[in-house]
Amino acid sequence: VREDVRDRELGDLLEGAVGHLEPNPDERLARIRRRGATRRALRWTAIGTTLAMFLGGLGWSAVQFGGGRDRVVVGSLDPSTWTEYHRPVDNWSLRYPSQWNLQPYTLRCFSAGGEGALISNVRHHFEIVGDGCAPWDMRGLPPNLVVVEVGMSGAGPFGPFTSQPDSRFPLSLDDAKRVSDVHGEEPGEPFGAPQPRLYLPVSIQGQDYAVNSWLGRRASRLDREIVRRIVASIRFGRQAQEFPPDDIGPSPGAPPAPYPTGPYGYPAIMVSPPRGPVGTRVHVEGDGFTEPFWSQQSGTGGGYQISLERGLSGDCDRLAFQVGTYTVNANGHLTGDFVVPSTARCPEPDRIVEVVPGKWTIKIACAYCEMGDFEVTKD
Amino acid sequence: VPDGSAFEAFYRQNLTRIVRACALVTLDRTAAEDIAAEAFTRLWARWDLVNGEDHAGGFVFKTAMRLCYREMRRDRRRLAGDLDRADAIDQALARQDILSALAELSLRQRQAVVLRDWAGFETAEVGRLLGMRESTVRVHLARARERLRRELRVEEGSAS
Repeated sequence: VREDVRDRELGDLLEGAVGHLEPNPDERLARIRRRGATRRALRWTAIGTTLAMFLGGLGWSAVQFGGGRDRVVVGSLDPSTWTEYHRPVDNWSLRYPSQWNLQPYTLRCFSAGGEGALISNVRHHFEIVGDGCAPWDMRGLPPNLVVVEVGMSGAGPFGPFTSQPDSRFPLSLDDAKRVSDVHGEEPGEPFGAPQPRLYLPVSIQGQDYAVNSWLGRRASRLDREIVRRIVASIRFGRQAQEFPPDDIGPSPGAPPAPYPTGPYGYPAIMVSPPRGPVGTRVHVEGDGFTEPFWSQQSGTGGGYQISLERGLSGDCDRLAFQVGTYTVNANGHLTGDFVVPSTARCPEPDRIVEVVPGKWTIKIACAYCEMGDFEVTKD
Repeated sequence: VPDGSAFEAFYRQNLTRIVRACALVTLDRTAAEDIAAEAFTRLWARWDLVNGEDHAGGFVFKTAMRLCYREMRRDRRRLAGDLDRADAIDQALARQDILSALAELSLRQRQAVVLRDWAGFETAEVGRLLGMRESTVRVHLARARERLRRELRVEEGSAS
């Protein structure tokens, strides 16, 4: 087997078996040339079609994401780059990234009128479909679109709401209801609006408002967190005076000196132990959490508190929500504890999944606040 | 438009060799001529992409061997060496012991021994043509030779 030697005797025997075969080359040559030429033409046609489709797709993408009017713009979490928008008529305000698009609107549906504003990461002028009661037309917009709408109840497509006691602030997107809109012949995604719609009813002094958020299926984590913070920045009437609108969230990459910065741009935390199996009790601690955001979120029982996430695992972003709590003292010293759970959730479709071994991201206070890592081990 | 005269010259020069190789693998002259024609059709369809006769030779041999393999897998009877249904020429071939012995080999063993010992390809080239590792080709080759020698009563050591 090791020697690569040709067995000539066997070769001669084989040659003797077929040596008399002399096919007539003229018998099939014309057919070979005709069929070969046809296949070559088909091949070049297929190549040309594929190339045309590819170039067409590139052109379409360039229009969608490049220089087109529906271009997605990148926002920042840095509060210093955010702009305040105030509507004196309704006396509400919010803050949003200055790079984003804000579109005030006035709608008239039957005899009821309403005013509001749309904030989006797409430079696009939104129109409603049909009369003043129809939904916003979001057809043809990029899949990473995100939109926040704040408006008086009855302004636009959203139905009348029952008056409730005054809402508590800051608002949280976690409290929003997931609503699936069905319209006409396009169930599930009416007129291009990403589904489900996150609907947050707000009541202030007998007046009902609606905060709607639409997150495209490819919306980035950054944009999702910006939406969360826009919603949290909404103030109505006197609440706008009590809570300074600057406190919309932490500033990544800007912890006060001399505190070290963690891998994700926030103040660094110590994780002890850094790894362990399900059931491990973990202590986190760090300095530099002097921004009001951190202390506002601590001890309230709301928000993310301490959560674990293992993203991009197949189609499932595993999130173990509120696995622990934390506190921040007056000097900005953060301490917290959590226990590694055995289960987590996948949001879409919503289901319970196991906490699998591997590196999990520790989030404190908000969905985008990635503070460090914890490695879940098998034993 | 590719050079038709160059293709025709190549076709006339290599048709017999391809047909004979396919006949040794399929043990069926009609199937061998059909497969050879299909292999040359595919070569002509890609003639503008192949570089020189070496490339063309490798392409047409490789295509022919793949078509043989597909044809044989499709018609399992030939794997068992069913020569009775062959035409007059095939029957003439079948009278020779070598074809009966070839019919006893597995398809891969048959391809390996035909390409190495009849066509004269190096073992590494046989591996490339059949899409298998060189070590695998050597194993197929050794088993095929051992069986052929036993069936044909050829003495060991006659290799040169």
